[in-house]
Amino acid sequence: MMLKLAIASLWNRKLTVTLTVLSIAVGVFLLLGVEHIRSEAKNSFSKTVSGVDLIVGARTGPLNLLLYSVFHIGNASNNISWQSYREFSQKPEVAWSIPISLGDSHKGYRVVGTSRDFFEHFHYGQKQNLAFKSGRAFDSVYEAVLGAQVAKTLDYQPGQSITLAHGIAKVGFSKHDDKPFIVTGILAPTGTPVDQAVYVSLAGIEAIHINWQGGVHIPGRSIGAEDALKHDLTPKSITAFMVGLNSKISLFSLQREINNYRDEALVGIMPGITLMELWQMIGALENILQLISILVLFATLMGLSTMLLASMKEREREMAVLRAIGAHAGSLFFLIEIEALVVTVTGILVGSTALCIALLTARTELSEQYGLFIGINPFTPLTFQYLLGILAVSFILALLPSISAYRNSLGSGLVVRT
Amino acid sequence: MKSRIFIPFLSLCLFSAPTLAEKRHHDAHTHGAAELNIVIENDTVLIEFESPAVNLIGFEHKPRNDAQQLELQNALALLNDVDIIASFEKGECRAAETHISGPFDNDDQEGSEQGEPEEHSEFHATYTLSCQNASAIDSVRTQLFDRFPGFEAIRVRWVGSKGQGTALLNNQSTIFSIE
Repeated sequence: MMLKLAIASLWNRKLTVTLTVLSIAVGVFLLLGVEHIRSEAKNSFSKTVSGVDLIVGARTGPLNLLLYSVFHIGNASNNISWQSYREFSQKPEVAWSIPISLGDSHKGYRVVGTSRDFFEHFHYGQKQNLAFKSGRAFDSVYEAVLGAQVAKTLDYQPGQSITLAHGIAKVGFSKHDDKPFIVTGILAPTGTPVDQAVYVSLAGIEAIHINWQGGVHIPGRSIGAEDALKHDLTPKSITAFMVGLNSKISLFSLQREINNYRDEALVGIMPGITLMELWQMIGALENILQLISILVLFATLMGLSTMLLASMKEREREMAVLRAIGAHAGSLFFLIEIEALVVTVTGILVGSTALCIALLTARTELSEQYGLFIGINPFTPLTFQYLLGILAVSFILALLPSISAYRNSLGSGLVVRT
Repeated sequence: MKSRIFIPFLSLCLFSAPTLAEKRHHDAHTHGAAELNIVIENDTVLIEFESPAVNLIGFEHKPRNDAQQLELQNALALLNDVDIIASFEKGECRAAETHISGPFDNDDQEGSEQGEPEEHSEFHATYTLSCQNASAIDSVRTQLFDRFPGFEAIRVRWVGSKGQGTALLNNQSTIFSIE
């Protein structure tokens, strides 16, 4: 009964109420959105690499190395020599190693030169293995394996022939079109940047660059795909490599050895620690964002209270009539409170629906541009706590207009005005 | 004919280039700061501790008088007790092997910089612990801040069965969790 009356009364003031609902929706959108993206980003980053003890690359900042080697964000400052890779990968304490060679692309997706060890030893999430959705790993030089997203977006099947482009521009001018690759397999989705890349063997990367010099294709020095196979396809350098150890006990000493390696400026990073340092670094920023979104929401709830309070003046008569037909002063108090809560709940519904839609539209963009994999369900136990908090705050802020309704309804409303 | 003479020289230059790359190498050394590394695997815990000498004894030259000699002995004795470096509430660990190298015991100096006068000196300590139940370890405490006046910040890096992590300890926070 009371609810019906509240809704009818709100309906009577559609425009103001709609605007208030929208402002609350924006506040809710902001608060839940910030919270969701911050937890999902953390989640997405930390599940990308699992079980890798060390990542080794040319000496640079640990974060930079982690970002370009695993997340394909940014580019390497330098490459490292194949010789150094051999030396460290053959150490007795090293159980396995995965070489990575970056720098080429296919239709905007990164091409990763690696070895078959990648499919065997790379883990993501809770130490999950990579799996093939169809096909198999590459065997020979001109074979490629696609990440799930690449195959889905470009609609490729095993057996498809693809050409790689030199560099990472989406519209590459220089193409390795004299040496096409055959897709042999497609990986199952992982929800990590693995889905966004094309994998070929290191020999394949070497072969397509065999008649290139200084970054351009040398005309007239064309070496066909078949002839290239006769060359020595051992790479001279790679971008980075990942290491798994037999025993973690040797981790710090191996890292020291890599960082103090005198023949080449290398750096070995522990991915888990580098990620944690990243969180510590951006933690303060996150808190500021959260504080801002809480303040925005608070401001919109104040707006709600202001709206109700301002309407009390024009509703003096309505209140008085309600009292006259027998409504208790307490009922008027609750009427206003219910109106406030109805507006807040509607705002929450609109805001979270908008957030779901926004996440749904932005997720492809986020995963392709930033390697961030965001779930579309923003609701966690924490968000429900937030929502309860919002309702409580709106109840408290609506006390002011409600009490005013309770007090003034009879006295001022029935006075005859001229 | 002449050009042939150059080939050996040229190749000498070319082939020695990579080894020249890292001739000038200096480790960082920050007074007040120290590094603590912890690895937990199965029932073994490895603890590595590295600190500029000034944090523990207040000077970085060879002891010049009895008081400084005493200071050095004290520091070495304290380092012998692994619980001061890092202690675990759970896990029931005992020190199995302890290796401490003070800043002035020359036979323990790391090989490379021999002959050069050292500007700085450091303590290195490595402890191997054997535990009854290492997987129960969830937090670690250090007493370094209580026992020595010179520490400002200690950077901890740990590796356990659940992953890797890091913590920055100071006077106020001397406990960190491993999870």
